[in-house]
Amino acid sequence: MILKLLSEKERMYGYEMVQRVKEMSHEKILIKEGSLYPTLHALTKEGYLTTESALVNNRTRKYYSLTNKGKGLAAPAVDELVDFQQTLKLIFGSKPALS
Amino acid sequence: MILNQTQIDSISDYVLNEGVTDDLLKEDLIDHLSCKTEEIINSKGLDFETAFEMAKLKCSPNGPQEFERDLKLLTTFKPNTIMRKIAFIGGYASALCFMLAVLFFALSSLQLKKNELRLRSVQMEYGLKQDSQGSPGLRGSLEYQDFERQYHDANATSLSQYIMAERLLIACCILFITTILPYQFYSKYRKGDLELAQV
Repeated sequence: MILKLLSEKERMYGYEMVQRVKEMSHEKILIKEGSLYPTLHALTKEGYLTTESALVNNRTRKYYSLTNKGKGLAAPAVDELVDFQQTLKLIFGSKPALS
Repeated sequence: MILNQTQIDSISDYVLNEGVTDDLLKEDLIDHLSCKTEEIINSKGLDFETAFEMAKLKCSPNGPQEFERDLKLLTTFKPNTIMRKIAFIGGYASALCFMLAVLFFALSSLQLKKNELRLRSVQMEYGLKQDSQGSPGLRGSLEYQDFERQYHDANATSLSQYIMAERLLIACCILFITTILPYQFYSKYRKGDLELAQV
């Protein structure tokens, strides 16, 4: 989800990602901060993301963006999820026949 | 409404006092809590203190230290996977060595037993021949000398199989001690560490 968001927008900060997912999913998906930041930091340490700090409203804001390595990972990861979604649709797509 | 420096400082103090040590995570948390507090103030018209309390509950109900703990878990996941792979391969090799050791030990014992039985039967056969035909000494016959050579060769084979079994058993123990045991200790240590962190 993080990779998908960052592949659509050049750079984003944590709170913005939470809000964007909330908005895109019509408030059905709420990313927990406890999962978001550890994941962002782990992806940064592994070289998939890069950060850039800026002083915004009296505080430091960290913007995350995809590195070339991250861009290479994003497309296959999204394709894999779309494929999985289509497979699930094949199984659950049709309504069960009423007896 | 945008938070002023004093309000941001109090958010910063909260994050520091909660024991977050990772500088990069600290910056993220301060900004996130500030954004959430601003959102609550703007949408509900509450004062800073109440809005901040609500933001804390929404963003980090178990305290900000939980973020750091999860981060450590995620970043130490890779070495753990490597250790698991090593332990798996080591365990497989160790089990293989043990099975081969048992096989060689069994072959060696069977060979030894077979030789003993063969020796007894030959001794009996030659003893009977000597009694009935009055033939020269048992050890003098060519057939017996040939048998004796075969007997010693078989004994040597049995001994080499026994040595092989011994070596495989040593290899099995070394593999077990160097791969599975460290992984077991590491897993228990990690589990204990996490349990302590959750207290």
